Amino acid sequence: MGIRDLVDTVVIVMMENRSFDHMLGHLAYEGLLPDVDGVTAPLRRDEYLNPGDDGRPYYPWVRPDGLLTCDLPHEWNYVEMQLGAVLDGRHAMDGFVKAYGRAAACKIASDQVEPLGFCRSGDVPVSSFLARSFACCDRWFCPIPTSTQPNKTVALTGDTPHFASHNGQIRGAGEMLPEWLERHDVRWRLYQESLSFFLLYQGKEYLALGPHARFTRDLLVDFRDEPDATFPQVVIVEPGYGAIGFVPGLRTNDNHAPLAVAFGEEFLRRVYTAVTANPARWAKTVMILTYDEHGGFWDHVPPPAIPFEVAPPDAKTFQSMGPRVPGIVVSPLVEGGRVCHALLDHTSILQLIGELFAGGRDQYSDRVSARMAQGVESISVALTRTAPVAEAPPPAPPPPLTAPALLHLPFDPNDVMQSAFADAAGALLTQHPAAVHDQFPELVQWQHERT
Amino acid sequence: MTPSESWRRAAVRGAAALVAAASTSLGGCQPKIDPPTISPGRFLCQGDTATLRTTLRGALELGVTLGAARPAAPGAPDTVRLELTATKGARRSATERVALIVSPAQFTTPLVFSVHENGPDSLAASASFTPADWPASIRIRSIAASRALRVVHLGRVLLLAPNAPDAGLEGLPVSGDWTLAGARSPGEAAPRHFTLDVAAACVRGS
Repeated sequence: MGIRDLVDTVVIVMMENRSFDHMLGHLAYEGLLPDVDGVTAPLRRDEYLNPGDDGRPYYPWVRPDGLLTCDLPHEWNYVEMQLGAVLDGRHAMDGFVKAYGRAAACKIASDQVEPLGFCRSGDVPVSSFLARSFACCDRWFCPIPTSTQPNKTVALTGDTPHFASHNGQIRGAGEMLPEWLERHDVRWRLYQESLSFFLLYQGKEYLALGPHARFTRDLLVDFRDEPDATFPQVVIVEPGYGAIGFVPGLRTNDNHAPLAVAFGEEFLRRVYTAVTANPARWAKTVMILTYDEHGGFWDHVPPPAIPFEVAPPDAKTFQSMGPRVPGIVVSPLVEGGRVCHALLDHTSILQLIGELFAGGRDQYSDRVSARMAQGVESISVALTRTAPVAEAPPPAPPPPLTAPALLHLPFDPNDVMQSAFADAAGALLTQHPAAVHDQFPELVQWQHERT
Repeated sequence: MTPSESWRRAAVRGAAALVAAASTSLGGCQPKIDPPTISPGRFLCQGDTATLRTTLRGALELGVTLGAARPAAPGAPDTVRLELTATKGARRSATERVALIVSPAQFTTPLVFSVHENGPDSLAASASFTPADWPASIRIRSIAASRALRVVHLGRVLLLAPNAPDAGLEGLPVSGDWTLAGARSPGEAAPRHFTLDVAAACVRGS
């Protein structure tokens, strides 16, 4: 049987702004997953050393979950600093403390600096459980060494017209994944925890408002009970973005700093519980969990020297991929506990979509095929079983929700992501008042309080 | 402790003496406390005196909490944290925090330089440390490294032999521009860093 016979449903979950070592480095440090390239003892070693601008040495440390003091720097110029010099063709990965110290909002207050902190398994029990129970991918890099918007746009289109974050809605993005799916007669659906990222794309707001858009509160019932004839073949599940935390009543659990990760873990537990609720559906499901970019958190593996060219008018060529991000393929079609070392990035998801719905992983788009030609593989490399595991999937453990949390953020006009969402929310209120009233009443209240 | 009085707090571990002075006005409802100014600065040698000055508004009481001094390593400078809390009644308060660095008379510290150039037979690194990180009171006694390096600091050139402390930069401050260069052995992987082990002295009153 081929992959098209084995897979009926692809679920895509993209969280925000954490590196592989930050979220999953503990798998090696705590001895939970043999063969994974995570953080290992001793922590005070030259390979991990990051000097500050004062010449003092800093090392990774185990950081209990909780609020961070700032949003760690992760715009392209900071990422360039974080990656460090290229020595013998490999980045030194030693500029994370320097970048942090130079960010206006961040401050080095002790020898335990936030970008070098990594999570204990007890603080990320759901992510840890999924990585150990399914296929943990330890060579998944974000495609561009820059911030959320360009990386997310690559994930949704295979390319990006911009290499930096925009303080407002994004213009000029190409065909988005849902549009590609509709063109190929593939059923798709968006489940949003609060506001969708699609709202940030000018002219694409309809993707978050139309008949394909639902809320995550519907996930469990839909996965468990909906007939196959109408059930989507591709499901995009979006967390509650921290950048819209200025709207009271909307959930924030995307794990973007300064949020604690506990509520993101609870979000992932709910998604996994829904995806596994119907045994027959689960048997033919592939859920992909990853992060858009590293968010300024340290990772010890230098990204491969695979360039990414952003076309004019923004025009910039990056000489390498961005830092590693967590990547987990959750499916009865993977070998549980197996580490996938294949080189992946966000276009690996689109390669899989091409395989399933267009006849080949080189059939998604020219840009995705070009990425493939550079050595980036498809998610299908993790699907090593020829038949689904017969046993029922294990339940995910509940995360502790006791870490100091931050559910709402004051609006900061200097925060580009907040400004982008505020811009998008304003456009939504003006252009689609009825839909907003029905789907996002919190925005109506937010606008009322603003004026 | 009332804000109208000047107060004196004895030293941190008997090392440095701290003096704080506060002026106050009782106008307004919500207490406010200005960020303290520190004279001569937040870097102190053991035995030095620092004066903290701030202004309180609308406060009836000033509390001072002295955090535990915690050196980064044995013999390294202590970071002493002070928290000033102005209060009015049970529920109204404002807080400012200050960190002071108290250096022993003599200590050793690593200085790490990111290697930024690697040729087939050479390696190079450079950095510039500011007086905000390394005050003028911190002076070099000697430096050492595990490999041979050519070190240039503030115009002085030193050819450093491996594992041999050298006093050629004695008396210079740590702050300022540094340039390091070293030979690369055949087949050697490029090191990510050069590390200098600096024996330093804290010079009082400088």
